[in-house]
Amino acid sequence: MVDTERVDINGTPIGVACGTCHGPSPSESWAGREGEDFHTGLQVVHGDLACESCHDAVDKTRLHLSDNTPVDMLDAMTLCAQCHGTQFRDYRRGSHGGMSGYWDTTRGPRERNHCVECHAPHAPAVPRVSPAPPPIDRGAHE
Amino acid sequence: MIDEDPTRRLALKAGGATLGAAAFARALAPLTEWKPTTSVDEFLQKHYKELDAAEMKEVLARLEQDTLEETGVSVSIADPRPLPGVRFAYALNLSICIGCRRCAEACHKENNHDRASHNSYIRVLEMEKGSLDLAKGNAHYTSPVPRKGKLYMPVQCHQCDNAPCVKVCPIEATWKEADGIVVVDYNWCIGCRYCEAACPYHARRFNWQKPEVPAEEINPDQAYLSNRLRPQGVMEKCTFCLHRTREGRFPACLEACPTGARVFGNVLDPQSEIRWVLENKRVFVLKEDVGTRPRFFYFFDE
Amino acid sequence: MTLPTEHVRTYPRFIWDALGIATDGKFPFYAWMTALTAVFLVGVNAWAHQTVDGLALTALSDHVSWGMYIGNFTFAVGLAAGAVMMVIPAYLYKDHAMHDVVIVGEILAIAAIVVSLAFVNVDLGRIDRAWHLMPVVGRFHWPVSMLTWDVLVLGGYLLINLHVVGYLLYTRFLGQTPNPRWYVPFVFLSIVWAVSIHTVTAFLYSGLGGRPFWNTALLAPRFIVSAFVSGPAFIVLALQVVRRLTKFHVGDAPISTLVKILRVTVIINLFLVFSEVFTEFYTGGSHTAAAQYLYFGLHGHDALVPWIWTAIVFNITSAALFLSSSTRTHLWRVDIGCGLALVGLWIEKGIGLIVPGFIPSTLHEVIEYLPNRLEWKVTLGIWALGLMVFTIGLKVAIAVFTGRMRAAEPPASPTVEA
Repeated sequence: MVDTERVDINGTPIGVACGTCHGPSPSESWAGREGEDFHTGLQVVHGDLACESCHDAVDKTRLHLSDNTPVDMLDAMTLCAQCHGTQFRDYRRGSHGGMSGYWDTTRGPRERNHCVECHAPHAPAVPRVSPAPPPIDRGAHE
Repeated sequence: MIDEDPTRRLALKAGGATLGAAAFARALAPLTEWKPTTSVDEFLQKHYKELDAAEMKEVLARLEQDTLEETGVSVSIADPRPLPGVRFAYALNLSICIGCRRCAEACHKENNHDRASHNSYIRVLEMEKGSLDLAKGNAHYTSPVPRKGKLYMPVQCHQCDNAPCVKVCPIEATWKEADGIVVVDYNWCIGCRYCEAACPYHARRFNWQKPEVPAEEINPDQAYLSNRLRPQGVMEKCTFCLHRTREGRFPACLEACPTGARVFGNVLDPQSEIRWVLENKRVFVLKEDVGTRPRFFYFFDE
Repeated sequence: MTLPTEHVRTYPRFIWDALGIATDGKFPFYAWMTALTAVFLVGVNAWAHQTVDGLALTALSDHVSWGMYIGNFTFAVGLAAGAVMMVIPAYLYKDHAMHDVVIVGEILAIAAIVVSLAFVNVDLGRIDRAWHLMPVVGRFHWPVSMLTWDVLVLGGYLLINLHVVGYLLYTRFLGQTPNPRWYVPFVFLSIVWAVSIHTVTAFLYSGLGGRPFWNTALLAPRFIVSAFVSGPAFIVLALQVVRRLTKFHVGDAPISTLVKILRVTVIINLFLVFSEVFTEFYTGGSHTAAAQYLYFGLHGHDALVPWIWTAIVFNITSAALFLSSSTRTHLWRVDIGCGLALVGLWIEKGIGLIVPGFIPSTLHEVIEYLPNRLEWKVTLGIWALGLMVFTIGLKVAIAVFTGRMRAAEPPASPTVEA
């Protein structure tokens, strides 16, 4: 969904699904508007990728691999893995990507992050955060 | 004897001695507030390794009762033993650690650390890329992370296989368990701090005063050898959250890490993540030349 | 020989008379002991606060976790070991003049061990758990932990010296000749043992790979040599005081012998310091950061710099004074030299050794330490205690040696006056 920065009569923000314009039957009311204007705030900082590198040319709600095999939005990780093989391998092997639960999966479950939980697909670089407070040292006077 | 009037002399001396004794008692007056132990049982408590199952149960019940009386919080203190066929190891991915210190925060909360001193077993160093010289490290960074040209290195107890802290303890209050964790018996330690002098990694902490945690923030899932509320005057250290890991769960620092830079598990399991990292990544340890043989490894992805 | 049953009567008499002597004297003695008692009580009170509220009341931290107390402990063990510098000439080389005053060294050993044990105990986080250190009832990690060796050798040294001094004074008190079989073997044992107490104390520090400032083979030799400066220096001053204030005869010869020893040991000490300094500063690198910090400061932190340079100046000056003085004509120069040496070594071996071991920390961070007021109070209190033990020990010994303290009734069998 793209935020149009408009609100309806009840004050609810109006969003537009990608497929409204990029679907099989694009909506008349938005046709002709400048793509850039409309995708307010949508930065694409993901190497030299174009939209169609990942999104289906006609139905932007669908993704595809490089050989055009369709990929469901929920299975997007296989698409990330296509180019980021090493990171995906590390992810599968447990050295990339947060997790919680049990190291001993025979005793309990484990939850893994999805790639997009940290890496927004259009701007995947992890943003800077403020670190938690530094240590307080007895004996430090500065 | 030299003296003219021995009786007078003796009387004067007796008077002086009484005054002296009174002054001595007055000097010691602050000790009347001293309550290091709550009972004879606690004073006479044997070393952890000498307690049988029944005695251990009593000790745990007594400690839970003490905590309830002191803080009003009902906690459960367990004594989880090492899992058979398990030896823990921990690895840290320096390529993806962003230095957010959430691990240090999680440790602080999970282990019931003293709030005022914001104590934690984990210390994160902001280092210069291109150098592993700890002298260029800075533990007090505050600007948003990750900063360009920096790498972030959390340091905590490495549970060394050849731990100098275990060697030097005069009363075996600290020792290495079968699953590799180096533990401290807080009820046996006399606070000589020889282990703190011996540790090459700044991993050990001393309770310079009684640690205090507000009742509502106390983590009630505790273990005798790890995160129960510690008394004043004893040593403590990271225990790889044995109250969690000996039940198969991740340590708190790993769960808090947003990037997944931390890898933990049973190194004896050929299918484990930690095993894969140790076999496939270029891992190294800090101060390898000191010969401590740590169980905490660092690696880069590239 | 006195019958064993006689000792039941005479030994308590000995103790009672000793107590009497210990509390008897002229005004300067009372003033001295009262002042020491006052300082001691201030220290006791400070320690009581520290015990209740924790070592947080000191300036110590997780970065510098040993400081004033352990520094003073180290120096005091050296003083105790240094007493052996009198024992060797007196017993091994049959120096009779020294033999007459060797008891001063043995009493110093007792007082210094009491002081060192006090320092180690006030540094404990949980002194109420000290019983955990006892073999059998506790869990004694011997022989792996060097601290357990220290417990054994310090306790043993104290017992040896208590026995030797006690035996010699008691037999003299009874008007008998001491039987060599009962004390000479212990004296010879004490010579070896004196070296062991300070070697073990050095090994406490030198065996730690994570502390490069201490991790040097030179540490034990430095300890022994500086002990052989501080011990004799203290004894020379003590003998001078005894000479002036008591009826005990102290000849020129013992003092002269001690100064001859000092002339050698003070030079060797300076040489070892020089060797240490060269190795550190020529090598450079992060393992020598502690020496950098101590002598010149590190990243703007330089709290110890004035201390160490004072120690250096004092040690060099005392060496010059010992080497240039004639004990016959300029003994006062030797006195100043002894005082300077004692202060210089107290700094160099005390906080000038312990604190830089922690700065920079094992993660190469610089958090400084200087003792605070509470630590000074406890420290001075313990030294006051040591001086009281030394004073009383000397007073009783002198009373016995000069015949002032004698068993009232001679024992049942005929005796020969010593």
